[in-house]
Amino acid sequence: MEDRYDINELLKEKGTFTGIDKSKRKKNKVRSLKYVIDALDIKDGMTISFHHHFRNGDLLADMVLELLDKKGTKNITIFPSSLTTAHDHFGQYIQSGLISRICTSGIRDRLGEDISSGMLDTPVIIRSHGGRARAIESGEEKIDVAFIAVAHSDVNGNANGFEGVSPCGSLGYSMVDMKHADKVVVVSDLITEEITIPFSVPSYNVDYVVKVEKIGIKEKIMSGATRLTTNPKELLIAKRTADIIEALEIIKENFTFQTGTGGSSLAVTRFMRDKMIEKKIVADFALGGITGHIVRLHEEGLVRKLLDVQCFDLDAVFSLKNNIRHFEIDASFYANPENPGCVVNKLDVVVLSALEIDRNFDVNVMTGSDGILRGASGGHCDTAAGSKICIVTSPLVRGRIATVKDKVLNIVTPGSTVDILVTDHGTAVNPLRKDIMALLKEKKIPIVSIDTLVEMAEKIVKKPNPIVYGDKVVGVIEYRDGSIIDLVKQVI
Amino acid sequence: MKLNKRAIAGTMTSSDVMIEVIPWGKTSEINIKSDVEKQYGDQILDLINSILRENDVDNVCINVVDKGALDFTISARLKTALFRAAK
Amino acid sequence: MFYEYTKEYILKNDEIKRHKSALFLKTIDIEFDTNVDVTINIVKNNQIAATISAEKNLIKCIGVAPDFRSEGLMNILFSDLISYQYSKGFYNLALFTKAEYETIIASLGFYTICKTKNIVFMENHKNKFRDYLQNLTQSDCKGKVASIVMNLNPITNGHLYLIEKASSENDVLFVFIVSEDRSVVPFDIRYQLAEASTRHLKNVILVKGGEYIISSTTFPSYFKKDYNSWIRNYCELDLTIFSKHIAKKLNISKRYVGTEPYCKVTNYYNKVMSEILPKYNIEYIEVSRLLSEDDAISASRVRKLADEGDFKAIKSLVPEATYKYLISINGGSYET
Repeated sequence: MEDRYDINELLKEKGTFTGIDKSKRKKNKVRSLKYVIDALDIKDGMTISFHHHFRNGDLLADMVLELLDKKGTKNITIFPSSLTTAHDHFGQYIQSGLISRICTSGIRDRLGEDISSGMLDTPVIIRSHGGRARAIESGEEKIDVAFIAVAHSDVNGNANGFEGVSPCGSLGYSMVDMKHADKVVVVSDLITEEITIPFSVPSYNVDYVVKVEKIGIKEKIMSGATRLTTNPKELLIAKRTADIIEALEIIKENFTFQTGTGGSSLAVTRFMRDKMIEKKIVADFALGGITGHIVRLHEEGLVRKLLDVQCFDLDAVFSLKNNIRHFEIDASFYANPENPGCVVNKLDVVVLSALEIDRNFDVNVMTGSDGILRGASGGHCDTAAGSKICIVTSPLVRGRIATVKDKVLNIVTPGSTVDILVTDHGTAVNPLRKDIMALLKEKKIPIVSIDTLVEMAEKIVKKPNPIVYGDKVVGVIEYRDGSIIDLVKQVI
Repeated sequence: MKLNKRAIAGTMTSSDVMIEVIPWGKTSEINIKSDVEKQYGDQILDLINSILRENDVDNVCINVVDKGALDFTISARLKTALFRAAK
Repeated sequence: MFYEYTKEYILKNDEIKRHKSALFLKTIDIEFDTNVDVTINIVKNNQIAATISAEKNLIKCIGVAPDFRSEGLMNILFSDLISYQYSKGFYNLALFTKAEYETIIASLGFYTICKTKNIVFMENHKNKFRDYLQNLTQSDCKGKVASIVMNLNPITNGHLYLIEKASSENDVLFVFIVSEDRSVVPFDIRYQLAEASTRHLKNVILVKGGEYIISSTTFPSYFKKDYNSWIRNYCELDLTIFSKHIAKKLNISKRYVGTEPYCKVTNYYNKVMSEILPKYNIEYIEVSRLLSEDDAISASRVRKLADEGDFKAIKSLVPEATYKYLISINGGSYET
């Protein structure tokens, strides 16, 4: 007989029951932010992460950094899912030595100017949403502490983003962090004894729960409802795009789509709706970036499911809370290229915008025409790569800035994944897609060459002064698979 | 062109330009605030200078607030301001 | 865009529309300043989307409803207001705004005169402030240069006492006369009376304060939600302009004030002044007021006596020029 079955060994190994006192206090996870930061001993070389679901109304990132800065902590990496106007004063934390490395999807406003001018010694790593998820899940980026701001949590850390005073909706980006970070801290202005159901963040991942006065500035988190553009140019582009989608026979039963959340890309949904009603088509799902307009399509019965990685207005938040097939998904499920079931691979069509696009159909959504960081990689390259058809919509010129040009200043999305460009001055198809060209020709949709558009734009705005770059590399743009697709240089 | 008083033309709507013309007794000065300063600042200055030359205007202060206007817009607004100043 | 919105121009006499504007501003937490001469609103579906107002050359009460942000409505309003005020002869516009809006306002053609932690003071011409500083004086400011800032409303013996003291203790004395014309006595008269009364002091230079010596009545009331921070912001801004630019240009190393027994605002202002001036190497010198019968001589006391017709009492409190003036405007004759 093996030792295993020796009852005395077993008793020795496992120990005999010594009694239990039911009234003894269970472990309390609720602490102050200051306590948590001290207890976690965040030091040199560590990485802390945040999400940006509270958008311009985010308060948590600054709260944490301010405390760390006061403590004299130095050389940490911050790893937010993106950076917004709420974070534009972070240059002060770079200068104090607190932040020595940044990984993000987007960077804007003053912080973008600071980084572009060379304030940070190490280059910023720019990743798409899918790329960020990949980096975390593969272990390439290790998160020591994930700070997760939520709208509502219970005392154990079961939390969601759609209840409470200042909801943010889906917590999609943070859901990856919470699974892989060493320590997880949930922070909210609404902490209840009663269990939070439904939850997006389960308490078994959570180490600490913190109550703060205010988790976000309500007016800056999101608007009540996203307004559809009334700009005639944008509407023209949107209508043309919808016509093209129809011509390419994408609109058929159970088709799937994703659109951007503003300008022409969102307005496309308005024209698509008419066509769907006319043809009596129901889409299987819409993915995004969800706004009230897409929610309306769902509630009208035109779209069966909504897969939501980020809510853009309160209508979307309300729907997430109440509509059972409006489903919160995490960033990995959304777009991680190493995740075989990632949803972008199921997209029939995606409609995106661009800051710049060139002859190769390469797209820049990261730097402005002055070379300064002012955008976000987001889900752009992910959806472009995963979708069957990728359409970029944009006016030919914006004011005096050409969108369509000879060569983009920085590449985020490679042209081989971009199929069609729709502008107010004409539509161009990537020569790699002979199938699309043939079909559009057959349906008598007018097409021009991308070169024609480039020349047209240049004729209108004339050639700008070249940008004066410095020697320093201030940003590294990673493609979603982790390889480097471009470098962002310092701007003098 | 002889200028008699100060005048203003244009707006600060996107793609437009607001131009003020002030005749004064010293050498001409052109102040430009532009959304596209880096990319087109020089070209805008050249354009304004050439229009002033064409119209034989000097000893003037030109204040420009540009919101990404194209050349023909800048030209039209400047000429309007000059004509108003000459009235 | 154009077919969606309408614009309305509201003048001072349109009480109803002004009231509506005030209500709108309240929803975005801004107080309407009833002194404004003109208000321009952008209206959509009978609701105000954005508003701007001005009192003479000072832009006030700017606001955009949250749902209409990022639509360029401010650009339209500023353009309209600038054109409108231009036609009324107000070519130079200025404003005070929260420091966080500096960049936005700058993109609308404004230049920063002075910035404190919370407030920024801007105007829409680049060189106006520089020209103002340039024209403050032709003379060289060598040696010990002192300053006093006063309303001189009208100039009294109390004022003269302070001026004479400062004049005797320094090589040059600049007396800045606040030009804000909310004073009872119009600026030109105040200047004349001061000039006549200080003629005997050769090192005194009178300066018209201009828009850069800010009186508390100019500083926008819509910052007044929290009185304490309003008054702090005002004092800091005015004193920073003075210390950082005006005093620097004129080589001023001292500023004299009379003790203030009556006015709470002035008292507070002096206190803030005593903190800020030393930061710019300017000495703060507080001088006890000249007394007459145990009462500090003040312009308000003099004005009160003038209202009461008690010229006998006034005669000992003011210089001759002031005395003659007060008599003349009150329709009397005077004893020499």
